[in-house]
Amino acid sequence: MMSANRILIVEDNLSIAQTVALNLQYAGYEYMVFDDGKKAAQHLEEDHSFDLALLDIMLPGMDGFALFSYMKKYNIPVIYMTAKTDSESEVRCLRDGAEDYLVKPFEVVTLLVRMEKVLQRTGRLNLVYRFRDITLDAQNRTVTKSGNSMDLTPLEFDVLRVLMKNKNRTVSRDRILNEIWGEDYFGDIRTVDVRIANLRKKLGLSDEIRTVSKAGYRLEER
Amino acid sequence: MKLETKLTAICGAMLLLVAAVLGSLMLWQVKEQSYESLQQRSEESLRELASMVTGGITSSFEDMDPAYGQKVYLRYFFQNLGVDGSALVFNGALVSAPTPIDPRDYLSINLTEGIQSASCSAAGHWYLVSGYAFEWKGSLFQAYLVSDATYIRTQLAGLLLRFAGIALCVFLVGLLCLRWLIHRTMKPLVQLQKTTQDIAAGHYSQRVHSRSKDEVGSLAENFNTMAEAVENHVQSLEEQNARQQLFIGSVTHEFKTPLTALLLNVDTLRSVYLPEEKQQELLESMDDQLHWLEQMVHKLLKLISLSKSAQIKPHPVPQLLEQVETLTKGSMKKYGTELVIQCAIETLPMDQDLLSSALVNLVENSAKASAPGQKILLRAENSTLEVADNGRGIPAKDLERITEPFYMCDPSRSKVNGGFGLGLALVKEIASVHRASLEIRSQPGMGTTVKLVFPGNGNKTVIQR
Repeated sequence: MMSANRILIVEDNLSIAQTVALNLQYAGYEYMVFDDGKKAAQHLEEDHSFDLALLDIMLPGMDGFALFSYMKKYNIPVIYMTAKTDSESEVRCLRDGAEDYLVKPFEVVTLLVRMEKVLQRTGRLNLVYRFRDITLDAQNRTVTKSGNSMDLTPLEFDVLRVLMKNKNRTVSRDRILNEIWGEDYFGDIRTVDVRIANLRKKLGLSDEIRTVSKAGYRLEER
Repeated sequence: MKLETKLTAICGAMLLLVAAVLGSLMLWQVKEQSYESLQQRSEESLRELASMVTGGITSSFEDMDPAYGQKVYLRYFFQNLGVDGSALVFNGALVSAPTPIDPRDYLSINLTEGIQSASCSAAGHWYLVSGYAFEWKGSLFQAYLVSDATYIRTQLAGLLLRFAGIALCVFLVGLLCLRWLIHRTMKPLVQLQKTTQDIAAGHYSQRVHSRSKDEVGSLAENFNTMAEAVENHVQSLEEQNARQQLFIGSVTHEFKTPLTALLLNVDTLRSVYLPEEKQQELLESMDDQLHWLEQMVHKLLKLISLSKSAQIKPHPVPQLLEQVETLTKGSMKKYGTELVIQCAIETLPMDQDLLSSALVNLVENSAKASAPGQKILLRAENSTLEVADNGRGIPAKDLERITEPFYMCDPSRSKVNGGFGLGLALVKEIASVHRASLEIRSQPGMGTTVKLVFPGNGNKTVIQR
C-alpha cells in the first residue's frame, strides 16, 4: 500500500510556508519546510525521499535555481512558487526541467491541482485516501469501511474521492462535477446532492459530510 | 552625384580651361614673334634691296628710253641682284621675274608710308608680303619681297601637338592628384556621414577620427563633442530607466510576497475546516502581513514624494542633533549602545524633519551593527554630518548596492529585524534633496562611517572602502 506523498517546501516567507504546509497537511500530504536554500540542500544530502519540491526562487542561502540541481540529482520533480513575473525566469525554470511554475499570488486550490497533476505525471501520486476507518483506493476503485468492502455506484465513488481528496476543504458542487467530468461539463448540480445523500447513508457520514451553505460540501475530520 | 566626384569634375574642368587658355596664349605669342622676326628680316632685305637698286643702277639710265630701254635694263639689273622672292615694279610695270604670287594683289604701297607688310595665303601656302616704294631720279620704284611663311604654321602645328600631349599628361596626373587630395580632404566628411548613420541607427559610442586642423576637422571635433553629449544623455536615461525598472521590479516583488501570504490565508480560512486555535494563528499571521504592507506603503510613498514635499530653510544644527538624540534613545537602550554628539556647525539649509529621519536611520543602523557597550559618533563639522560606529561593518560586495531600494546584505536576517531595505535608499534620496553627497566608508569588523557632505564639496555618492 502506498504511503502519503512527501513534499519539500522551501520558502522564506514564514506565513506563506505555514499556510501552504497547513493546506498540504489537510490534503493528506507529509511535508518538510525550510526557509533557507542552503539548509534545504544540506538536509537533502541525508534525506531525499521527497515526491515533490515546492521552491521559491529568491531565497536566502541559496536561490531556487541553484537548489534545482539538487532536485535533479535526487530525481525530485519541482514546482516553482515565485513572485518573478518576467518570462525570462519562467522560461529558465521550465527549460531547466521544472515541472511547473506558479506565479505569486496564487490560490491554494491551484497549487493542489498542479501538485496532483505533477505527481500523477511522474507516477508518484498516492492513490489511496483514508478518512477514519474508510479507505478509498482510486487505482482499484474500491472503498472499504473497517475492512469491509462497500458497494458504491461509479458516480458515488467519484464524489467520495473528490471529498476525501479535499478533506476539511469546502468543495462546491461545480468543482465536484468538474473534477469528475472535466472543465467543460455542465451537468445538473443536483445529481451531486443525490450522491451525497447516498454516501451519507451508506457510509454513515451524515455528520462528517457537512453542507456549507452557498458554498458546497465539506468532509470534516474533527 | 557624390560631392567628391563633383569636386573632381569641377577642378578637372578648371585645369583643362587653364591649360587651354595658357596654351593658346603661348601659341599666339610664338606665332606673333615668328611673324615679327620674319617681317623684320623681310624689311631689312627690302631696304638693302632698295639701296642696291638706287646705288647700283648705271648713270646712263636716265638717257635710256623710258618705255623700253629702261625696263629692259632694270629687268637685267634686278635679275643679277638675285634676291629670292623679290619683285620690282617700275612706274607701275613689273620688271622682275614673277614671284609665286603677285604681291600687288595683296599689298598696295605708296611713297609716304615706308615699308608695308601683309600676310596672305594662296594655294596652301602662307606668305608674308612686304613692299617699299621709293623715288629715284623722278621715277617711282616699288620693291616687293614675298617670303614663304608656311614653315611658321607648320612649326606652330607641331608645337600645338606637342603642347597638347604634354598638357594631357599633366592634366591626367593633375586629375589623379586632385582626386587623391579631394578624397583625403573629404575623408573626414565621409566618415562623419557614416558615423551619423551609425549613431542614427543607435550606435551611440561611434566617433569620427580626424587629425586635420581645418574646418572639417573642427566640424568632426564638434560632432564628437555632440555625439558624446548625446551618448552620455542616452546612457543616463538608460541607467535611470534601468534603475526605475529595477525599483518597480523590487516593489512588485516586495508587495507580492505579503500579498500571497494574505491571499493564501484568506483562501484557507474560507474553505478549510480549521480548529479555533489554527484560525487564530492564521489571523495573527495576516495581521502581521498587513502591518508590514502598511509600513512599506508608507515608506515607499515617502521615498517617492520626498523631493516634492521637502522644504529647505536654514535651521540650527545643535537642535537637529538633539532631536536625533531624543528619537534614538529607545534604540540606544535596546542595543546597549551610547550616542556621542559633537557639533561644530551653527546652521545648515535643511528640511529638518527629513534630515532628522535620515540621521535617525543612520544612527539606528549603526546601533544594530554595534555590540553592546560600543559608542556611536554623531558629528557635525565642515558642512558635513557624520555618523560613525565601530560595529561589524559592511562587506565590500554589498557596499556598492547598499543604497538601492530593497537591497539587503542578508535578506533573512534583515527581515527578522523588521527592515525593508529602504532605509539607505531613503537616506540617499534625502541627501540628494539637500544637494548633499552621501559617502559611505566601511571595513568589515572595523566599523562604518556615513557622511552627508553639504554643497561646496560636490554632489555625488561616493562609496569607498
